Amino acid sequence: MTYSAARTCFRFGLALFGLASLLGGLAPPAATALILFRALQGIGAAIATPGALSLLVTTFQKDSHAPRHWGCMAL
Amino acid sequence: MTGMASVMGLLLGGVLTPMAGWRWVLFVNVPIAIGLIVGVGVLSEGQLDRVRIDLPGVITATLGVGALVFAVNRVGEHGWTDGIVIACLVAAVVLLIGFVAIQRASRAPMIPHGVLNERGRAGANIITFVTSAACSPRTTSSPSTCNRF
Repeated sequence: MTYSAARTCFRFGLALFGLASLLGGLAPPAATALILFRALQGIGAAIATPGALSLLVTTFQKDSHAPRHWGCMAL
Repeated sequence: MTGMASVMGLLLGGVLTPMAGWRWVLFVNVPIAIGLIVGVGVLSEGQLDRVRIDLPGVITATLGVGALVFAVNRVGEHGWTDGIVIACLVAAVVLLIGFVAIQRASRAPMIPHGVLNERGRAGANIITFVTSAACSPRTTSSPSTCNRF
């Protein structure tokens, strides 16, 4: 996977997550729409998270402090 | 950042909901998402090795954890003796054992061989596990508790 692919993945996932959050916030009081948009948030997050991890790997690949970056990500 | 974010998210959600209403718990994500979509542009270019996707590993891990979560969620209403609960628990055990076997045997596993022997990454994973274990039950148990009132 290339850096730009990871970044596209991260951006697309976040865009989906943000859009689903907005629509979820605007959803009518009935639960169905909110559940649907929450599921869409989950799909967005599932796309963004591997993108974020790939960006972490590509950005700090040749860095001897890589374990520190992983630690920061975890904390 | 993952652990801190999980804790801060719960705390801020608790502040936002009574102050501004539950809708703002969702709206607050929008500027954060936009900021990250723009901000990720400043990262310097790097290159990843092209790897094959470990499809058997992905499928067994996702279905295994999914079956476990579904079973635990169902226990509250149907009890431990419910047929679907037992079936899902058995499926989870079989799938997760299968996942470990696939990871050991595969030449391109989802979790690369030896990666958990690196202290930095092992520590990072343990911290993520512990903070998720502490925070995630809130998001599932709170709604089901509130529903009883």
